[in-house]
Amino acid sequence: MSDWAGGQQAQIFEGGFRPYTGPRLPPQQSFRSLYTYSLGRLLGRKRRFRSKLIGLASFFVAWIRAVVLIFLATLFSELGELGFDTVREYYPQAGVVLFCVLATPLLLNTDRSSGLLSLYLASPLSRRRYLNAQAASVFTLLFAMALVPLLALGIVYTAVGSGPGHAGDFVVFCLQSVAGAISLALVPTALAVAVCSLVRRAGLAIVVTALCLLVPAGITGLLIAEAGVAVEIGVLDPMRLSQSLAMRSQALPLSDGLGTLDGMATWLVVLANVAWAALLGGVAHWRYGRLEVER
Amino acid sequence: MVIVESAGVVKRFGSTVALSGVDVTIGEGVTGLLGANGAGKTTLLTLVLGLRERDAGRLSVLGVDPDVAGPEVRQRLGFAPEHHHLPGDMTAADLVAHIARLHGLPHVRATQRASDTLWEVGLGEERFRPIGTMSTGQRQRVKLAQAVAHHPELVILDEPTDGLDPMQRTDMLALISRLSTQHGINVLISSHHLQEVERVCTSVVMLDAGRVARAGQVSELTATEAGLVVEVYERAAELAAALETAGFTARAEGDEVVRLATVSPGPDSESACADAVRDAVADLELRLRSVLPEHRSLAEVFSASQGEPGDRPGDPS
Repeated sequence: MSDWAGGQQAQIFEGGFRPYTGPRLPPQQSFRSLYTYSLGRLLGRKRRFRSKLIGLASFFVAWIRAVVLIFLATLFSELGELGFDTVREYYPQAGVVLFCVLATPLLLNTDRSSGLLSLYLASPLSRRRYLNAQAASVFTLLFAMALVPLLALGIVYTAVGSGPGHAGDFVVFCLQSVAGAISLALVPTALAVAVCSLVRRAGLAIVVTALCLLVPAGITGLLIAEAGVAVEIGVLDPMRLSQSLAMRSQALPLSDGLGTLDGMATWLVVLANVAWAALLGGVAHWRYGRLEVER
Repeated sequence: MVIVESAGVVKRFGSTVALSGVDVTIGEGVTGLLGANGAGKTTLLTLVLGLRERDAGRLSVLGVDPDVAGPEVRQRLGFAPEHHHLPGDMTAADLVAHIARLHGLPHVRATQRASDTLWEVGLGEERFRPIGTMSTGQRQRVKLAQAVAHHPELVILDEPTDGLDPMQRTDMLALISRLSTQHGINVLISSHHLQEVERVCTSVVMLDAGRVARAGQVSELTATEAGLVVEVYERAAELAAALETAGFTARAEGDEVVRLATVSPGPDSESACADAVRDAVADLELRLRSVLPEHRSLAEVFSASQGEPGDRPGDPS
């Protein structure tokens, strides 16, 4: 008969379903759980490849020029700040628009059509907490999409001697970049979430969100350029408003009067952005408060 | 322990009164919530879950008012909806773990519980399959798994056997029964299938026109006004006559069955009935096949509890 020395330490950990006696987090953490989960979902985590395409394409558009410039700057430092302002102006916004138009409906509208929303609302999530978590996840990705190329370029240019000269300048540059990224992400997030709350089908929500961003930009652009209407009509154009605020936040030159609403007072641009965000956020909360959920 | 307690609960949708003074106490075990379409079942469930606010009355779920502390109540509840829509591109394990995390389980624990729960409901081998590739029966099991993975104190199941074939129904009912008997989870089932409710539930609440028509233990409800059913091989009419002579109300059905009503419900009365049958059978020298207590089915109790169809308000939820 063998004497097994390890016998006294051996244990059998029986698996299987049994009463749960472990720790439980408070109901407030449901916000964080959903927020974290939705971040992954927006990026296509644990999804088929086609679900990852929207995120990949958007980040590619937003970051590609910065990546190229960083590559060039590290190889040829004498190129200086080649195209830095262009990166800060347009490319991140293109990615932001693409992502919020395509990804937000696939998050919010799919929750409704797939029955997930009824499961969410039977959990500690309230309607308000659910909406805030989803909007926060969209905003976070748009913010990152806008911020990372700016910061990366600033760091690389500083490293090669073409960026902000002093530590204080660099801090100011970082703060300006953060403010610019918030400006670029805030109103598009609110607009996409509001449209998704009003429209049931994801496909229709994609079309409506795109139209809400592009049509006012086209109409106000025509009115300002061709009909000589005052530039203040730009307050009706959420996309150009957020772009204008982003450029002002970064102290960039407003060279293009049409594209950046340079004739409009900064206080009005700030106010209009805040008003759009509040209005659209209010619409989304109002709608979700009354949404009939399939049971 | 009282799980759900309501007093005078009223819920209106515009001019429609969905619940008009619901007074009910639901205890531990498996409870069935019965009622015709529009009786107010779904409205009552949404109030219990804290998804709507009542217009009047008092409601307590696990000792807490869901209008005041909805998230706290829902963290202790599980819910499986009636619809079969689930995200098709998620695996069962991901969905169950995700819902468990929302109910407060830490990340790693939720993953472990999801796996254990899916094994428990019979989807252990299928847990990493996308839900979109699953059958209706498997989706019902996924819904049940996500409702119980965080081990709630009360799980609410809305039509849990809807869309299942007879074998799957039997399995699902056994599973539900096991939740209560083996795992200590209280269950509230909303269902139209009276036979299933009778099989698995220890108590029922019957709603009609926004009110509680009947409520109580299944055994008590079906035994009310009970009697005995006596089966003999022949001459049932003679036995019925003998029992009538002895002071009981007896009725022969054919040549082999006698239905004997007790004077009043209760064990003493049933015992007196049984003694009378024994004596009469002996006197008449009959061959006795069986003596069984007469119970009404839950369907009969339910039918008797329902008012006229025109009396029922709509249930817009």
